[in-house]
Amino acid sequence: MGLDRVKSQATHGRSAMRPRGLLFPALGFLVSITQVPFLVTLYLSVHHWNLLKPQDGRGFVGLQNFADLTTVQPNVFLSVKNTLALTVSTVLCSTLMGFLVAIWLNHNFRGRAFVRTIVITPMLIMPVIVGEIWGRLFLDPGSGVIPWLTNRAFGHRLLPMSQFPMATVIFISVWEWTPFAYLILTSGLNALDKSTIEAAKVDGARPRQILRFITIPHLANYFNITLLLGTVLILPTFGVIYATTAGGPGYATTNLSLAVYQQLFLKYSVGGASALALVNVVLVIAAMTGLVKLLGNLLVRNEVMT
Amino acid sequence: MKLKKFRGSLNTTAIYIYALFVISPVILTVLNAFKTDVDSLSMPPKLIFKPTLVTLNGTVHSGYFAGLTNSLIIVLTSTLLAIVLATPAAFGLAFFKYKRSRQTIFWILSTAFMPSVGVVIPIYLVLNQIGLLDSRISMILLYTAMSLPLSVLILRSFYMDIPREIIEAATVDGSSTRQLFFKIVGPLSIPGITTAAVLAIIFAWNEFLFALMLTSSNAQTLPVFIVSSVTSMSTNLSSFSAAALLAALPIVILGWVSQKALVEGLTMGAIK
Amino acid sequence: MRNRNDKKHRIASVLTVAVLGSTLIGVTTQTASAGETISVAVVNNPDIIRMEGFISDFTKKTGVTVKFVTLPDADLRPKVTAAAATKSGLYDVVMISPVEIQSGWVKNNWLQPLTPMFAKDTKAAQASYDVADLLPAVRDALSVNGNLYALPFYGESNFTMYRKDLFDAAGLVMPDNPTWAQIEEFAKALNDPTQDQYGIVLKGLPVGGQLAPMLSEIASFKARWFDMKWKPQLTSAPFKKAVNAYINLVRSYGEPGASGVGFSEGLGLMQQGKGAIWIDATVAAGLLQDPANSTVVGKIGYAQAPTVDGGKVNGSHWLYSWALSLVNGSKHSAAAFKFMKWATDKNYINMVAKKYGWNQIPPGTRTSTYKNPKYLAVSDFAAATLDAMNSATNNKPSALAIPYRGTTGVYIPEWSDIANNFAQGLSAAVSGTLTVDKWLADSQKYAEGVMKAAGYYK
Repeated sequence: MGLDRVKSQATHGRSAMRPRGLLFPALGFLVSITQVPFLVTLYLSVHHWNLLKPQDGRGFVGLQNFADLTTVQPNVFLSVKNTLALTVSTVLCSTLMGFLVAIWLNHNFRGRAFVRTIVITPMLIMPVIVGEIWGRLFLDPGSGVIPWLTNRAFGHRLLPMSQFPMATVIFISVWEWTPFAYLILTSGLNALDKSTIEAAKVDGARPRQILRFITIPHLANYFNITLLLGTVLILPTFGVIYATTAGGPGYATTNLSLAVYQQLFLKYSVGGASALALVNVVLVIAAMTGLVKLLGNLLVRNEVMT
Repeated sequence: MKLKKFRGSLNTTAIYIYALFVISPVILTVLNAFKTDVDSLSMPPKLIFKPTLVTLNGTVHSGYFAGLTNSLIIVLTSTLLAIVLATPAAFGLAFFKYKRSRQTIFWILSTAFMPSVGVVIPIYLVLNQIGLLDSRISMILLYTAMSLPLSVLILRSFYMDIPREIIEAATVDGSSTRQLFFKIVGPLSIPGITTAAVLAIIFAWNEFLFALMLTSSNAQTLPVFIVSSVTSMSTNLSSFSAAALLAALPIVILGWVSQKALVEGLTMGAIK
Repeated sequence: MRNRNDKKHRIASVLTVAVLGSTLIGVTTQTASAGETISVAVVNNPDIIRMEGFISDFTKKTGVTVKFVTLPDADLRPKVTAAAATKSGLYDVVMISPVEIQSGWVKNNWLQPLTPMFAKDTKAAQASYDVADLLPAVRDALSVNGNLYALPFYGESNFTMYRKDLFDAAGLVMPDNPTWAQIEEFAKALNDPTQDQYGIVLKGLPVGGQLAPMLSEIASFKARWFDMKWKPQLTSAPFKKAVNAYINLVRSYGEPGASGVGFSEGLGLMQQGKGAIWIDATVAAGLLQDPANSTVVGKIGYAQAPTVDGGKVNGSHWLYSWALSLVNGSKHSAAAFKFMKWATDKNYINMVAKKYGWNQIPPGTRTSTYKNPKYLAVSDFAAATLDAMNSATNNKPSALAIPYRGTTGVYIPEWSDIANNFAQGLSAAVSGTLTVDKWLADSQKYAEGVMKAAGYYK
């Protein structure tokens, strides 16, 4: 009722400008800062420009750069495939882990605050550093802990970076991003009204039932945000891969970000890099649209149930 | 009762083991920062060694404070700017129905979709043209744009979480939009602002690619400083660890400190 | 109510001032300080870090302030290339190598020629710097059409480094010019993984810039990268033979996880005493003699880089140098030139020798160094280094007929692309996840694509 009044104030008279005015600073800023580079990228993607060979000129080449993406190595399909595999696995695993840890830590115990601070630390470290730490300290064939440990224990050096690179990168990414999911879901758990749970317990509900019929549905919005934001933040993963497998062996762990990096700094092809960057944007928009629709459906189902 | 307590302790122990596992790479790095280069390369990792401040000292004197100053100025200013711009937008998106609300949110999100690697050359070119390469201002503006989408989304969620009754109670006494914002919603959004600010600070602090390509000797931030300590001629594990420790410490402390405030602030919101 | 509002307004104003204040600080602290300042981009190798430590000597003598940008090569390369290509003027002096000079930077007019600048110096200054003293091989690598484009900070080739003590204990003798067959025998004899000792340390990092030793090995088998028509030769018989030999060597007697080993990891392994043989840059010899990091001081012997039959083969070892160049368009050319000379003249070398000892000076730049008894007395690697550098063949790095130059990389702009793809395959082959045949077939196709697209042939 009251909100309608505010709204009617908004549509009549001088307050009519107010709502749009609220958005203007942010939108205006974003437009000017992000759209110009975007347009330049668009322009560069249909021109030829090799940084090392200025004598070749910067002529218009239409969609040639995009066509080249399908024949170059790693080709765009491989990069997209790797990106999706990495992103989906990392997002799902880290969300699940974050959820489990959030539930697990959701009671009072000694040193709770201390443990919480430890648990969120991975997210606070620079991704390239995360990659370097894992790559050098743990996974380095010569001086890493894991190969040394497995050698001592089983007489055989386990070399995750060479033998299962994708899984390794996913593992490190999950280590890095679990705190993110944990934080959001913990907020959600804290927002859950304790009295509802108490009432359910009084009615004789068991922990598993409470989890399934009260906690999880309540967290629906929070899962939503975790998955959406997580996807946006994890899809451009670069630092971790760069500092561990460098996209290898071969191109097994080369995702779109790394492929763009290679286009730009190894081939010195500005046109190719720009074209690939646009492919990246299209992919993300497609993924987000799909994700929003999917989550939207799940949400509706949940509401019907509760 | 005793069994319950025993299971409780067992559970707590398990939690601590898990925490130790999670933090072990960080602990090793911290330990390495206090070793000499030779020590840091021995296998198994020396847990008992003679700690030395030599490596840390060397690292501090090779450009750490310049990097720290730049990082602080750039990150804090851009975060502040992002919050200031995001708050009215989030407020509007939360409480008013715009014809294109959904699309606007989507579009805001999509500006975050462009991979840094893809836009670094265009941005480099533009900054080069206007003579703003290697300057704090351009980094501040860039990071603000990077933090804005996330901040808007987080703040909007928090605003939407504010119970209807409070809003309605306020509007019933005839508050205008401005009063509604400053007197009622504003104070309640402190936790949201904290969350958004902390996340923005974390991501901006750790941003690497733009810092690498768009700064040089004047505006170099800490991530670039760390990388510069990884020489290509020796496995400088301890120097690298020392640099990583010094660079990550401020943000880790921030995360720890604000994590408490974060969670408590959120719980406060739940208890009307 | 009133109080809360006031407080909020106060907070708001404080914050506003803080924002404006810090922005102001941020802007104003960038205004230039009195006196000239130059910007220098360098690689973060230990010798260069040392040079940065001496910079007050330069500033005192000339009043010029130097701002360094020090990064690993992989991160420095894109920065300086972008700066040069877009004429951004971010750097006055850039540290580069023969590869950049010979494969495009000079052609693109990105560097200022130094020979004319020397000609304008006073006679006394010219005599003091003594350009003629620079090692001819290095000078040649840094010149185009008789014009010098960079001053060498240090120069290197590659050779075989081996553990004299292990060889003696096993009764083995390393000849001065070993064959690859001999190397394999030695590696086999000294390979003892249970004792954390590896017969040979070889690289497998998937990075094009780390391929130099492999390029030398390939050339030493009398193979070539391109025929006279610029068609890639990765599937030719000698090339295949060379690559197979390398892979067999590393997989049979090399360190584990070679796919993660580059120069610095190899150095680490040797310094910790885990490798019996290492074939890599001559500059490593000094690092292995550094007691601060090395456990094998005094235990290293030197021989030339191996070839397929023991004699000298074109391209079997390289000539490389990290050198200081002057960016075209710099607004501080005179000051920058002074710096470049300061960092590479005889006086600088003496300064380093005085503080760190003669065997720690940046090697491979001047003939006078290799005639200096003080240097020779403590640097048992000097003779082998000089021999390697002087006999390197940058201008014809293959026994076969070729249209290209360059030992650490082919001097064409397309090289880093081809090299990186090749290195990806190397990494996979070294870890056993890719066969040599498939690797070479794929990389051959890739190289053909790149060369065709670049217009070398139809």
